[in-house]
Amino acid sequence: MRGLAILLAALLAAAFTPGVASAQMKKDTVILNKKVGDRKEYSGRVLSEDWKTTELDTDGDGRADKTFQTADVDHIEYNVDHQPKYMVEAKLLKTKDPKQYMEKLSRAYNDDATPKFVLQHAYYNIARTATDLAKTEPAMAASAIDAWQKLFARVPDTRYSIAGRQELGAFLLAQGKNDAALKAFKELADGPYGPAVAQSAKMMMARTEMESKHYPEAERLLTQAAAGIKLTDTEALQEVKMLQCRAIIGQKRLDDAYAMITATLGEKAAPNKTLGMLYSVMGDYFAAKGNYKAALTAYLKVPLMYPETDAVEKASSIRLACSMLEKLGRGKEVEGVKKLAGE
Amino acid sequence: MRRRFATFALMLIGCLALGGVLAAQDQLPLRPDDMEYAKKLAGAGFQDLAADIYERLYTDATGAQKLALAQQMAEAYRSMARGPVDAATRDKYLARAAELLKLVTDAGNVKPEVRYDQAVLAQTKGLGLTRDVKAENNPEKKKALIAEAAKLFDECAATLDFVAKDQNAKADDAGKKFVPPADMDKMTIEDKRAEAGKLFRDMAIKCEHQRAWTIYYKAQLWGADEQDFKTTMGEAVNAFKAFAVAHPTEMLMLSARYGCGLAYKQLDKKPEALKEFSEIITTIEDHGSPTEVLPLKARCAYPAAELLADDGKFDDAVKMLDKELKENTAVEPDKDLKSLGLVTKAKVLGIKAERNKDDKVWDEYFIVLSQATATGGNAAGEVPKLIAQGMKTSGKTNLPASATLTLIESYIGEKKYKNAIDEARPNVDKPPADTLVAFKIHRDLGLSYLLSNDFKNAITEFESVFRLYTTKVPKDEMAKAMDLWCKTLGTVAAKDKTADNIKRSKEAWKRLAMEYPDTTEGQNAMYYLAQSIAQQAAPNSVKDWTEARDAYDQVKPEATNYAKSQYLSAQCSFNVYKILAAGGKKDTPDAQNALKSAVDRLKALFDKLPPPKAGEDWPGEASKILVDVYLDLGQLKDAEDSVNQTMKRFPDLLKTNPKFASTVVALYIKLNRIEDAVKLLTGISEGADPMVLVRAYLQIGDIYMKQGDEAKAANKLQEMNDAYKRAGEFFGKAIDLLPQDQRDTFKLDNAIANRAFLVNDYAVCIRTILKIEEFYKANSVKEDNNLWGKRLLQAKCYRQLNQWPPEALELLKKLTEHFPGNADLRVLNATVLENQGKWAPALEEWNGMDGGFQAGTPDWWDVKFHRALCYFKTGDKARAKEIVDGLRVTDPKFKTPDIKDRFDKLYQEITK
Repeated sequence: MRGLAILLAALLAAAFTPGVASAQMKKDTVILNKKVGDRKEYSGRVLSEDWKTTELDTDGDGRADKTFQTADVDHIEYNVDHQPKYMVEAKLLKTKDPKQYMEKLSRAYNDDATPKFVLQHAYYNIARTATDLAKTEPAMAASAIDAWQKLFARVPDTRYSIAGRQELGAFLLAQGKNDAALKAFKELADGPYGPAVAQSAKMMMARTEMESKHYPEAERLLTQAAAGIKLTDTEALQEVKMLQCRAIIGQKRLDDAYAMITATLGEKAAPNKTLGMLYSVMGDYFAAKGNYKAALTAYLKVPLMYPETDAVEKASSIRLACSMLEKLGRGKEVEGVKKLAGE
Repeated sequence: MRRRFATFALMLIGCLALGGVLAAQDQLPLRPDDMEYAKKLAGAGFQDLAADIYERLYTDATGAQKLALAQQMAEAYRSMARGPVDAATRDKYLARAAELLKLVTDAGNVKPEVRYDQAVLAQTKGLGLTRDVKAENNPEKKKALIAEAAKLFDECAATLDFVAKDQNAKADDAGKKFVPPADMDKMTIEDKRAEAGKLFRDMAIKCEHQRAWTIYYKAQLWGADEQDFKTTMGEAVNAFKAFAVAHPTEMLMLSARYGCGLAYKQLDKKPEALKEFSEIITTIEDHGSPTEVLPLKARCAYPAAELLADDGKFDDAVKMLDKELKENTAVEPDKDLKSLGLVTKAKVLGIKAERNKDDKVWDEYFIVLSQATATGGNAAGEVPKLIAQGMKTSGKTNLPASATLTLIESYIGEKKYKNAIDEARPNVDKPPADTLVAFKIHRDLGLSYLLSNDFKNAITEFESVFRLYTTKVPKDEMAKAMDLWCKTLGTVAAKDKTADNIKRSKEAWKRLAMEYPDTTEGQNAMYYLAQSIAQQAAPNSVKDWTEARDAYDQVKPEATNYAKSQYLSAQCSFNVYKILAAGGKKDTPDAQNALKSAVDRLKALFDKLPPPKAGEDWPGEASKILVDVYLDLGQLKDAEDSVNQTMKRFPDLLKTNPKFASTVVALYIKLNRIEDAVKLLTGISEGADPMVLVRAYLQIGDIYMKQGDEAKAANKLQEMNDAYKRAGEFFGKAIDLLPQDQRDTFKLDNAIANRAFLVNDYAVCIRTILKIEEFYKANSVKEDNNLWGKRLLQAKCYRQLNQWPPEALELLKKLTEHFPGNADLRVLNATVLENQGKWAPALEEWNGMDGGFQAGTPDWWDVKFHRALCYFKTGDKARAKEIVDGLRVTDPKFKTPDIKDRFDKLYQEITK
């Protein structure tokens, strides 16, 4: 509500004081995640915003005076002069009417006057909104994928290079378009984004390969990912190990998988998050053995005992618990399990 | 912390030591947090999984921990018994719960908590019997069930009363024993005294509350117009009221007042009921958080709304329901509660629409009903009946789309496919705006055509569904449509086996498997494809059976029928071997590979697959196939080894799996070790599924029966008698074990009727044949040889019983018309005439049969006896004597002592 009032005030100010804009440069505000120097906010004219750095001209000479790591930038409040008016107006529709919001933002595709680093936010919001809509309206899926591709094509070094590809990859995976998902994750793994991004991308590639039942390839990718993790990072290693376990289950090496699970279960100080993933994998193991009741017991342990488990893993455990119930001819109990998702 | 870690470490060492065993384990490794997990599982409604964990923890527990677990487990089993289970399972759970509680009391623990648990267990048993009372139509049985349930409720109430009084006394005593310091003020002293007895008092309150509900449950055993109902429901009201007055600040007071409201409502005291419900609704939020109080608030609002609607206050009723539905959805979405709320709302709207003759309110009525269906809650079961009632009362034909879908689905459920088609068609031609509803209606149209055997239209509609909706609806929904399409094409191919139909069917299954691999239907598609190939396979085609085997091999472990596909693949391989062997290519590599593949796969199954889940029968099936393979190869020893290994791997299989037991018995018979089979069956008789033993005993009885028939044909009467006697023993055992609820199976009835006759159980035989008659009538099955044969048997039973009631004579007349000149019937007619004292016409009948039977057979002796008897009865003693004397010359021993005895007695009469 307060945000809306500020926005309206800004709009009114822009409408009634046209002369001021030309006389005095309007400032953008860069809001950071953490203090850089002694401040968390800097004003000036943003000159660029890509996945690596954000440049700010604070004195109006057209040259960058401050360069931030984009990872440290929470967001930028572009002034109405810098950011086209239709983008500002569109914000009002964001929650009220997502489709009209997208339509309004789509003017960005024909906007040659505004810098691309500003337009990238419009492109991103179109893609993001279409993706959200596609979750309930399957017909929107094609528009969502198209919007992501436009973002990466028009602004190759967009600040959304990493997060956007992660979102696109996850969406494609959920849509069952595994090859396309793999491509999105591979761009991250092979891109210039650093070892941490590459490692997490490889894990996502492995998950995708597993969805495609390419278990040996998944195992290979996970071995690569594991090699990049420090031995002291037990949690990350355990996560990779559990994913490897899944790949092993997929290859029907069930005894190996069981040994790996029980060994990890015995490792000291496994946090609840890891235990959650471990039981999810244990569920996979029992499901592969056709022991659906044991699988159900394992999957249910995730939401009931380890709610801290990664959201995707938890949701998958709940979905698989429902599937086990169906297989056990206990479909009527599915609703009860779905309720656990909200807890 | 240190202790916990030590326990954990010990467990870990245990796990490592068992490393080799663990690889083959089929259970989750236990962890220190599993006790807590089991409690959470029970709380989330998975009492069976909780019970499994408790049972495992219980095995290793000792002392007090074991007793605590026994109590927890008893509670889990009691909850499971209250769930939607059949009577046998319910009794099993209750028995286990009782056993566990007995263990606790036997260990000297007669704590009030245990007494309380035992009382509540009796209450649960009583509620189970109350359900049985409702389902029972036989007045005598109903009365017995009511008496039994009432006794349980009385026992429960008496125990609760005893514990409550005991605990109240202890609470008072504890309070009195508290000695306050001199400077303590009066208020603090009172608080301290109450605190001293709090634990006792809490238990007493719990018992009093449960006792009031027990009386209420007891009242529900009778119909509303019976005196016992009114008296007991009155007692329930008093108990609830007394509780609410005594404990005004307890949360349980609200539950008691709710019970009081329900009791008033059932006694038709509407104002009193409404007052109780309304007061709870307005004050409940002072008593707890929304999550705690809202379910009870809703449960009060629903009957209150019904009472308001009865008074014509429709808007108040709807407003009340909407508020509760909204609040409940926001706090704790409970589908059962929601469905009950929506059904109640529809009922209120229905009364309103009917009274005001308001078409718009009828529309709302139907929409609310479809919303109730969508919840999937318990009350949704009432919806089809309410839609039908609404349509009849309102005269409406054009329902809202979602209500139309519900209606179509209820028509399909009632097998009224034409009505379903008529209702769906206009909505397919002009689809409603809601895509998913439009899709489901269209899919149901296809399904209705399929179920009414109009396959052509079904296929057209399903294909139209794919064209219109493939990208517009969720995958699992579309997979279901495609699954139906595949099944339709499969049925068409099975009926009309043209190459084109078969090809289309196979391609359809392939398409489903490829396009929807992540859905249950997609995963099962490959199995059905394999099935269709196997069903269409030419018996002597190596190519066909190889193709079927390859398809079975492609079934993924996720598929429901994975285990089945594994042994069916083996059977296909064995078929390949048999075809090649029959063609003289037994020793070719192809044949030997196929044989090896079949045997290896079947043997590996027992190591590879986990124990079967409920409803799955793979060890029985796979074992049968493996034994068949060995028998076919003449490898009797291997066959025996294989069943022994299976019994070792699944010790309970013989007790629980009729198919496996049958395989074992058949093998023993083949090995000519019938007595070993009997010994085996005797060994498992305790705790075995009665049907396992029934079928096995019938099987053994049949073997002896066959031996008897062979002896009869060879005229070895003593051997025949011995064999028939043995057969009779086993048939008798089978009939004794036959559970009452299994007697309505047609196939089994046919088997039982014949065997009951052989073991002289004529009453059972007649009763079973009358059931078979009923089956023919109920299913409009044309009278066939089987039925006429059974009727003949029925008539023979009357003869053996020497009872000829009117229906027996009617039957005999009918049979004589159907089988003119039949020897058996002539015997029966002659017997009837004898029975009626008409000796002369009877003699005529017997004389007509003389010479009609082979000399020396039981029938031949029978005719001779009756001829002599009739001559004697008609006063011609000389002819009678002549017959007996003549027979004595032919065979002085009269074949058997029984026959001789009959003739000797008659002879004494004649020569008196």
